Amino acid sequence: MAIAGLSLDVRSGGLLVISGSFGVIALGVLAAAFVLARASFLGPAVLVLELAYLQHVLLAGPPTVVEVAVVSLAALLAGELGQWSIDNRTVRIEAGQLQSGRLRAILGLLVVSGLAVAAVAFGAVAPVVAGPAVAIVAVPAAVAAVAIVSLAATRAARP
Amino acid sequence: MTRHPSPRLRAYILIGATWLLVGAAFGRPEPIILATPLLVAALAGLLLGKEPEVEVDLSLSRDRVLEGESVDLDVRLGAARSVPWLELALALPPAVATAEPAAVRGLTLEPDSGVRLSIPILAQRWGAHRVGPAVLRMRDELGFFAFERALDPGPILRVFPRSEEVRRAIPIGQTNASFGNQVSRASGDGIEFATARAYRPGDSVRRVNWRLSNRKSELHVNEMHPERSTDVVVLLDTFTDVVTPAGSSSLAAAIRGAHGIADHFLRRRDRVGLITFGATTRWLVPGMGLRQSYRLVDALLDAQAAVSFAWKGVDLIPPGSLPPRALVVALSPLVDERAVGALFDLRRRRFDVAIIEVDPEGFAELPTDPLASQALRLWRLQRAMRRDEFRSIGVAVARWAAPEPLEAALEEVRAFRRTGRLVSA
Repeated sequence: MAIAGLSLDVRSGGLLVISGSFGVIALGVLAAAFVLARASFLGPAVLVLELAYLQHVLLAGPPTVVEVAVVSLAALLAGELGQWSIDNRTVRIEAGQLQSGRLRAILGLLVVSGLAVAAVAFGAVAPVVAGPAVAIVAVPAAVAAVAIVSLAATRAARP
Repeated sequence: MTRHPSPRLRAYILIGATWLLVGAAFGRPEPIILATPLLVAALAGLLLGKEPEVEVDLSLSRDRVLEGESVDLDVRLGAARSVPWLELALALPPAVATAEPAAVRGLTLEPDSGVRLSIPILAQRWGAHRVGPAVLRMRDELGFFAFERALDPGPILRVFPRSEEVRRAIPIGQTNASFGNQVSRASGDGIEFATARAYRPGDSVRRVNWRLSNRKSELHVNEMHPERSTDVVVLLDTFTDVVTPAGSSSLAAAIRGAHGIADHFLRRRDRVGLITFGATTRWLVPGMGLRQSYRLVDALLDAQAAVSFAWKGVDLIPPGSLPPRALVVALSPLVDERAVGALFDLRRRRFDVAIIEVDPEGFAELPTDPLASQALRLWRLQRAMRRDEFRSIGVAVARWAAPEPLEAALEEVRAFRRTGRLVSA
């Protein structure tokens, strides 16, 4: 809802209709995922939410980095909470179980993602001048990123 | 164990990669910032998604119950590592139902502290039913991967039929030499008075009928009927099973009746055997006692109707399972010609046969249109003629319209056997 609200362009009636229709479609897909308990609808819902915001960026001009960071984390939160909600609905939860574990994991993911977003945002706005200091930070970071992606790919390839 | 990635994992990677490309192509940081949380989440999911190891044990609080009773299915789950999200789906056979509507249960497992679930299940229909299969689905912390594992086949629940009440036995013509509760037609030592005759050397003085001897001026002794055991063979026709849409069936009724009759004779210390005669012919040699009672119930649980086009006669029945003096109590809807032919054949072989006809009309939808009604009338006439044929050769036939009490049909059999005359077929 927050993303759809942020995506609205109220400068003219036509723009309002265009930006509003994106938000309505995004919320419709998300609602369908909840109502039908279909986890496969969550990905498209996140995609449409972010498209709705991007069209706002295209029409209204570049936003602040903080706003984009909040939108990106909100989209992730929508997907994760949606999955949690669907999972909870499809099973009969035994007394006192399953409620807190996933929420803690989502919170942890949000924190890690927030840090990553902050790092990317800082990289985007900070006046960085090429030099040995940058190389000392950037090269290990790039190697670490490649290692993490390789490890993840190895795990994904495991049958 | 099979691993299924969540659809949102693919979506996150796809969306994130697309935004990265868009950001790189247009030289803008916004799409890259949008992509970052999704890619971090996907990476975290791929790195943290480990295959859980769960131990499961399914057991029943009782493995033998009566129809309509409930039993607890105990599920014990344990894991060496924490399992944040575990779903247990249990499929039950149609004859067994859970009291709770939800089939999938969700729970978490902590290391070295097992979880025990007690699921009440209701045994709705007799038979031997395997509880399961059960499927475990485990998810990682973030739910990006689901690991599914089908459990080993569950325990077998044996549901015994509720037997029909039988109060009085069917009178039996021939008895064995061993002691029992059936008054034999022969003369000997017993309680029931048979006749009086002239004294013969060797007769016990205690058996002298002094009043008659006084009147006849000659010693007379009383003769008694000895109490003997009998052999009873319950023959169950499994060629045909007429089933209503609601699930009640003629075979189930016949099994309840067979159980009641067998149980009654076993309590009288008679020897009881069982023959299930149908697509598969099975037999249980006559025996007595509690062990035979359990054997009979187990054999009845395995009885089921199956389609067969092979012609089968009594030749298939081994002689040991049909003692020559046995009373054969057949429970049959008298629909299949093979079963009818076998019963005629048994009588022709001089077996004492009584038939409880499990009325199939109670389990079938009767037609309403005139043509079909005429056909039904003809069919009923044919069945009445068949009953008369049986009666004409000394076979008692009684219609049992289950769920009416079996005792009414047995009384009809008893009345026929009291007044009817066994003739050579």
